[in-house]
Amino acid sequence: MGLQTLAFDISGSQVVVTRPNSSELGQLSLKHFADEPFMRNFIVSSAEVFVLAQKQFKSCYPDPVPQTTITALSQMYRGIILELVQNLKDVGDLETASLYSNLDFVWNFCEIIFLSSNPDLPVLPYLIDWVRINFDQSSKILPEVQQELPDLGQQCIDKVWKLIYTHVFHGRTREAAKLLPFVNPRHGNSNSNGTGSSASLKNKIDLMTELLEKKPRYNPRTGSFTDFESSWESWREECVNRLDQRVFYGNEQLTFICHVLCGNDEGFIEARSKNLLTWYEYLVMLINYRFPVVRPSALKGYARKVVTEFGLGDSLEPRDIILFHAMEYDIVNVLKEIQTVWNNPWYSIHFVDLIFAGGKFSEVTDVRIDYSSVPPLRAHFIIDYGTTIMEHKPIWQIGVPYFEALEEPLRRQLIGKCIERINPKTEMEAQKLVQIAGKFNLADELHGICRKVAVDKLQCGQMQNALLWAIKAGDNPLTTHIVDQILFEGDCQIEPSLLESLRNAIPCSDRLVFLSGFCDFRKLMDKHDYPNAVGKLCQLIKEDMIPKRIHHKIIQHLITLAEKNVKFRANETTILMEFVHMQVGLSKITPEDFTRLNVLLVCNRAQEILTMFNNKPFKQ
Amino acid sequence: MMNASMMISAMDTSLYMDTTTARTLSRSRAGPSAIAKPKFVRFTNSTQTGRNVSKVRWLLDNSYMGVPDPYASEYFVSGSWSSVGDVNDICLWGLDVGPSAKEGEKDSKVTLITKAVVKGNVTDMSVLSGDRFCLCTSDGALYVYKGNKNRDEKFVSVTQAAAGQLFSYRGRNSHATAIAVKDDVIVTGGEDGSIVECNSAGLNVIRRLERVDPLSITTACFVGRNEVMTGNGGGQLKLWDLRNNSNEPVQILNPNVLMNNLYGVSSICQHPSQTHAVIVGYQSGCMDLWDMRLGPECDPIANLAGEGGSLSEIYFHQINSDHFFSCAQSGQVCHWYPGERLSNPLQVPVEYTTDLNIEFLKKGLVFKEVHTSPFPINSMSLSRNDRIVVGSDSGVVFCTEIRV
Repeated sequence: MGLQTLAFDISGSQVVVTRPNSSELGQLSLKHFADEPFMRNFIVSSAEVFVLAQKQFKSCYPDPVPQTTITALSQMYRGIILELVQNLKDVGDLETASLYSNLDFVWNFCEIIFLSSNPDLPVLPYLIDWVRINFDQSSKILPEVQQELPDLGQQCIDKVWKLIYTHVFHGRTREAAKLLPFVNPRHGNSNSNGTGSSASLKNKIDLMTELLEKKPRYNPRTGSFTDFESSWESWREECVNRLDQRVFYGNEQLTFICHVLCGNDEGFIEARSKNLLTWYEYLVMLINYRFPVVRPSALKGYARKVVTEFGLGDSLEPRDIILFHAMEYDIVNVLKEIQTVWNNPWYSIHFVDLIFAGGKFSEVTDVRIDYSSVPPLRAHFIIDYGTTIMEHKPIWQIGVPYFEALEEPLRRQLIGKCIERINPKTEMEAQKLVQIAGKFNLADELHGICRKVAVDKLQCGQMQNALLWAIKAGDNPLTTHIVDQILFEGDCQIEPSLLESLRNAIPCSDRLVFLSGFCDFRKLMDKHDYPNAVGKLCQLIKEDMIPKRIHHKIIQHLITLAEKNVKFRANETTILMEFVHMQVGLSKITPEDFTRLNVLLVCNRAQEILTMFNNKPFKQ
Repeated sequence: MMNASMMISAMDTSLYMDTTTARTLSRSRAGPSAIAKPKFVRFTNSTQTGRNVSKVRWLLDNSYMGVPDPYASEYFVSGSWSSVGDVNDICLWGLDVGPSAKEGEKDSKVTLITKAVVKGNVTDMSVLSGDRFCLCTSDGALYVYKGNKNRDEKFVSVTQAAAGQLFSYRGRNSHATAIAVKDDVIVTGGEDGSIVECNSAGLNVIRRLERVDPLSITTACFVGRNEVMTGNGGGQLKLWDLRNNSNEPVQILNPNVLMNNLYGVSSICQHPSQTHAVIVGYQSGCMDLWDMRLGPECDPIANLAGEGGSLSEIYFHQINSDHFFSCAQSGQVCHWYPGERLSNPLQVPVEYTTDLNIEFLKKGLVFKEVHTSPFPINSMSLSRNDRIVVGSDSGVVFCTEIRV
């Protein structure tokens, strides 16, 4: 079976079949993917509606989203398709345009079956809408007629008749009634041919108008179904009576219309012979005038019959196959076929998500309808579509809300995997990734991104910036490494104010704590606040945080202290003595320095002992 | 000293309720008919640019007469980032607003007038006089363009400072990230912590402060004739006096660490009349109000906790300066204004004897959502005709009217 025989121009009655093959379709979607503003608009707008749908779902949970909301959302999606179709037409890509207008046609039908109609009520009003949207030509013909007013030529009158016929076939009898006066141009015109036909035609038209206007309409929201059934019966009786009374005798067109209204075989056969109908329209006509109370689930039998009558039984187009699957409520096959034909998960994801939100799958009352596969299908298509979008670098952020709609742990895994692939070049890009990673608690990814930036900064020689990012990453070894570099190579150059903010970060590395303490010490030294400086130093020594490589720097500072003749407190002397003798040792210091320090420390100790004795109250 | 922060949760939706609903529902053929009629009908316009929008700016409206004109035609420029091939667009757009066929409504149309390409991401943009604007890129280059509102003429790149000239390290170009403009002087900051002062005419470098900030500069703003305030990736604000010989900032304001730990500054915005007051937005989503007169080591006067999500830009309304606007990576565009009653004052440090005449300090602050998008909003701009334009990562530029 030929798969892609579906692109045809549904706006005209003439069916134009084009056959793009699947690889071509792939090309098309690649060609347009995201780079054309309108294609991006298509992707972004549908993502926006998708987000809206998720919001509705969340706010209603655990109840399903109300049907009216679901239908409104579905209509938004279709609006997006039509916007795309228009844009494609504008750029002259008619082939793709018709491809997508077909998608709308199918979506519309599936919307009726799966989303908007009630399985226990007549499906007719939805079908009337469906054929109107797709096959109505009044917007094309009416302006032409308008131009020729008030004098319509025979050609124009024929056109009007055609339009009236299609309105009648589509079940939109009130619109047909409005057009009827146009087919009697001589009426009201004084210079009539004197045949009198005008007056009698007027009479007939009035009768027909009355019939057409009286046709009962069923409103699925408010109307009572039994009322509709009885009023329809009586209306049909009236039609049959008129026909029996031969009131339209002599006017072929009106008689034909009346036959159709009565649902006569005669009228139906003639309707088909006029070549004005696709089988979709014929099906709707059949239901309109013979079986107006058909439920959606019974549609299939009539459709089969119509297709056989049209001789299409063996050569159905993929699109028709999809419609038949829909009539069977076979959502799996609908999605499968659409996926094969359009080669793009766009439809499947958004449609199945609506079914999911509508919650029908959770209350499977009808054994014929299998909705149990909806949740796994939804997850599958979200993954498919989301990954496709994420792979396209400029729009990766648009994929995030799709993954967000998944269940844990899949959600985090997928977002993690996708942002892992993105390599931030600037801090701004990194920041965007950090935000997403933070939002979904992706600690590993967060670590990875910040670490990457830190390493980059290190390469650029921006030690302190690298340090900031390493701390953001929470990467202890890297932080230690950078702090070491700052301590040993950069001469402890770190901006005090920066340190201030870094210190308030979680002290994730011993070295950072030391650096912070050491900088405090230096700050105190610079301020000539020696007593406190010594206190700070002793604290550092006591906590055993001073790296060996920094010992000589500490000794230098001690010597400075010695030069200033600083007084130490008791325990400080002990700590410093221990530090100089045990930790640093003779080998690291020049003998002179060692002696000087020793002298300083011993003097301090001696002085302490003296003060101690002096202060001690003598017991008498 | 820590400021008690205020969570602003009172959200008033009455004024802008038509935002998203109207836009999305208008797509459907038969949307629900009962959409509540908003009090103030404003136009909204969403235009897809096809690229991730990093910056949008209104050009100066030369015909502005001192009173906002709801039907004025205006022009704005947009810059993109993260495009395939690292070539990005700069677009000049025209906005036309006219009365609609429907009573009391307005029709708006955004049209692309002309377009130029630039290498690297557009990282910041600022308008100059005479339809000119300058922008810097992630390649470290600085450009001045003249936008010709005339449809037939091409965009003219007036001058351009080569990438290597401005920000580079060991032969590698560093990213320029921030731009600030005062009269004819342009100051740009880079990710390497350098600050470069140029004149807009020839882009000749007047002053170069090489790697003066150990962290990357994320935003810059002129706060005086010769004073530039920069924000860095660690949340610090530094005030530089361009007349000063030393390479040291004259003032450093450290962030409120409990709220803003390790988050960078994303936007600085100066009060239009009380120029010593600035509102600073952080990547944490917080906004701080600072009084620069308090000197170094002071705390912010007020700490405004936002809705979460990194703030992108903040702007004061130029005339009604008690109102300000913010946009954030979370996709929100908010209009902030003083509350109705005196019941909800912002908590200000006790020792701060206020002589700052800012109404929301006394009355409390409320906000309305002007626009929401599920995608990050990177930039916005306010025009003198009270229009707002917003650029987001979805590629949409959204224009609407504001009422203060």
